[in-house]
Amino acid sequence: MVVSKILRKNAFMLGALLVLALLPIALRGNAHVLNILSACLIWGVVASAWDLSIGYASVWSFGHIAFFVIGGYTGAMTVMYLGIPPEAAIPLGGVAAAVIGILIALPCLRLHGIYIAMVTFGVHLVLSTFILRWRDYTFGATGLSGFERIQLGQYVFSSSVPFFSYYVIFGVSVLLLFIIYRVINSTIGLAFVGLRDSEPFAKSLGINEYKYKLIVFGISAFIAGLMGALYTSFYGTVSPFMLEVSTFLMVLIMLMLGGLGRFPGAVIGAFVITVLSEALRPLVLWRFVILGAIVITVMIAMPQGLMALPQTIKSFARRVTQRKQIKKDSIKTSSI
Amino acid sequence: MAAEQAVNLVIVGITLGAVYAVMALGLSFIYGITKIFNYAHGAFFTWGAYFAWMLSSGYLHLPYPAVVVITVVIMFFFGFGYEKAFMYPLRRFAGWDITAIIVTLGSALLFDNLALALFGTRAKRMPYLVEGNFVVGGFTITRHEVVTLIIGLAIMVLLILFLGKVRQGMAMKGVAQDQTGARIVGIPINKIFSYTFAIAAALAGVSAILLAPKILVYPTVGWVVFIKAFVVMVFGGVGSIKGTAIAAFILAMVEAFVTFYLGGIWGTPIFILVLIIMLTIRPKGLFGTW
Amino acid sequence: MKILQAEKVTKLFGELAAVSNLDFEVESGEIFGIAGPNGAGKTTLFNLISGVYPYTGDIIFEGKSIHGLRPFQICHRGIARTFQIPVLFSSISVYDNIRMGAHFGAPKEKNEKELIKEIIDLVGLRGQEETIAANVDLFDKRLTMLAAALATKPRLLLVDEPTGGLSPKEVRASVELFHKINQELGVTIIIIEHLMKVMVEVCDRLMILNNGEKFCIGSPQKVIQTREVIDIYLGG
Repeated sequence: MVVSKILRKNAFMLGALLVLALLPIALRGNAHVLNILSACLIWGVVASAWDLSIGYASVWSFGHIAFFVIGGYTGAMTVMYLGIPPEAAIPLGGVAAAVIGILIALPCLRLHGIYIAMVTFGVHLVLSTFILRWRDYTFGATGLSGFERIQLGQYVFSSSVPFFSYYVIFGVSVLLLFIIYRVINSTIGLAFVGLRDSEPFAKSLGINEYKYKLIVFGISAFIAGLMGALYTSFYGTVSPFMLEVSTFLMVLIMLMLGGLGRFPGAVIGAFVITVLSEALRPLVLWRFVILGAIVITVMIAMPQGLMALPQTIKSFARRVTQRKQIKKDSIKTSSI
Repeated sequence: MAAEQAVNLVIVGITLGAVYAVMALGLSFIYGITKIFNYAHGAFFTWGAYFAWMLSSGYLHLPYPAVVVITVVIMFFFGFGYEKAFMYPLRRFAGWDITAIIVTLGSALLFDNLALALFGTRAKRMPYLVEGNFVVGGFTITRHEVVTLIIGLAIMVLLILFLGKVRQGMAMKGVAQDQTGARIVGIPINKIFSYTFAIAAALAGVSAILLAPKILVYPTVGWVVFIKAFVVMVFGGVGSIKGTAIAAFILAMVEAFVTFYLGGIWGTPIFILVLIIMLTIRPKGLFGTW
Repeated sequence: MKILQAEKVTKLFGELAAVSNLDFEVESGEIFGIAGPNGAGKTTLFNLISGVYPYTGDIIFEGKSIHGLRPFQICHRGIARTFQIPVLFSSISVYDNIRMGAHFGAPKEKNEKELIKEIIDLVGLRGQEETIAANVDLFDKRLTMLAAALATKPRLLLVDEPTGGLSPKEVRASVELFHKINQELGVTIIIIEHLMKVMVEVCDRLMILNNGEKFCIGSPQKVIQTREVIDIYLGG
């Protein structure tokens, strides 16, 4: 009976997992689609980790793509220069990103909103400076490639071996998403929501806000960094190109589109945006223009994101019936 | 020799400071008055630069005064339209401040890539406002730098007068201090919001015209200027014109010296470092009021 | 026995002294009222006690200074508070709001569920546990906030204007509740309140603040009959 209750409560997620687990078998041989699915999963996890910070703890870190890239470089460089086995290098990428994340969190402890956003975004902008500066090790703008990949018997973890690689990514993603899910539903997640909804009250109830800011930076940077290392290993290359503002914006948009603080909204956002972006690829340069326009339109039409779609439709229907009676615009501000 | 270099760096710093001040004032205006943080402000700068480029060396080769006036007018309406089209519709819902963040970010994506699609990645060169140099007692100052400084200072004076003496400016200040209160006394908030964006975009246009000849124009040029303007805004304190000006000159001076001694790529990192130090010591900035 | 002693507490906001050279003592077990006109520094004083702002002077709780501690540390020492505006965790349930206090404010409590249940019964929120906090009415919001504060197992409770916007019936229920918290749980209470009627019914002693300074202190019946206090209230 308990089992059936759990099944019913999580039917959507379990169904989605089942589809994602079986889809490659149906698609066997379609390397292109498999790799797109892999990308969806990677970005889904990155966006969800980011959501932990922005959506749940309301810590407006804009450093998560930097963490991702730090993880990527750490993964590649530890394999290249230290001879660490590639499967160990991937969690190391997470560890490196977490350490940097916690260091960045220190000056952010007493800050809020856009101030955290800009300090962390500053780190994002500065990271490429350092990568270019230490070109002896990072190969500057060219980036790193040709490092050793994970190998399991005859299979290599690489985008040219899509079927095997998809399942590796699927496994890692499910594990990390499960961790994120558990964090959200733990007392750590409760503290995040407390600090988000009402920081003064949360503090007066015994929540040490510094501790939870460090935790959220640590966890979400770890996951972003680990995914960065996985991504780097999967595509076999890492370069400062990843730090382009459009990458940053795309992932942020996945998160916002899915809905802030609405797990697994960010994953859904990642699937929608990745697939859309792929579909728009023939438009070349116009792709991001169209994407930007879509994002703006969607946010104006349904500001709560995709996860709130049912509610949005309901309230829209209600508004249409009320429209004739009242016409007014409301301005409500809080401090972001 | 060394003295000459130092003087030159100070001059570079002062003119750079004028540009950063103008850019930061726009950002500070929007944030102070509407409480929206405009992530597309860098894109405003970029587009201001492209408009100026199209009007001058790109296509039309108009005389420079005409370029300045037309660019400012275009940017004014650009900002106005941006607010009306993208920000105004968001305010139907509670919690719109969060949505505004993503819409400004989405706009940045749109505008940046529109520039990329239309003009390509190759950087465009812009001519100086005025060619030639002044030579004063052995020191050489480009005329462009002098004009930059004059325009920058003039804009600050005009803004102080506008906020202090002109009805609309005073209304903006009122909205900055208390949105609900301002609405109750009958200040048309929606209009104020639109004009705030319009003015800020025009300021971004001016700073683009002043800076573009020195740094070239490319699709993401605005981001670097944007982050520097943000640091200036924080350093000086949101809503303080005096603070912004002082902060801009200090930071630009630091940048000029760091760039000279350590190389150009350290310009942005030094700003971030200053930002972090400033926020740790005095988060309200030098003269924060709003 | 003194539970709280304030010694020369001063808080400046720029030039303005929000609280100025304030000395007072609160007895263990009493209900201590603070009243005064708007801007007298009442809420600022609460913010100082609970560690929101830095200040000069010293505040001693149960014999030990709490000066310079951060809000969460002060909570762990045994001081809880409510806010004038109900600043709840609006996206989660009433139960989770209270759990927030129990879990983080009383970390040594073994039986968290039992504690929460007792408090829900005490304040009278039974039946509302699963409602999202944003959707309950003002009175229940106040009760939820109070319940979360109580869940931290405080020995001193600071209550900021608990009756603003409530109906007369709800005000009466609040008064009863404060007596109950004071007597059944043995919690010392400091209460800020505008309604003098409530103060007279609830408080053992009443302190009047004006311009950040202590104006007078004594039994509420006596204090409210003082000519000067009436003048202050009438803006004289």
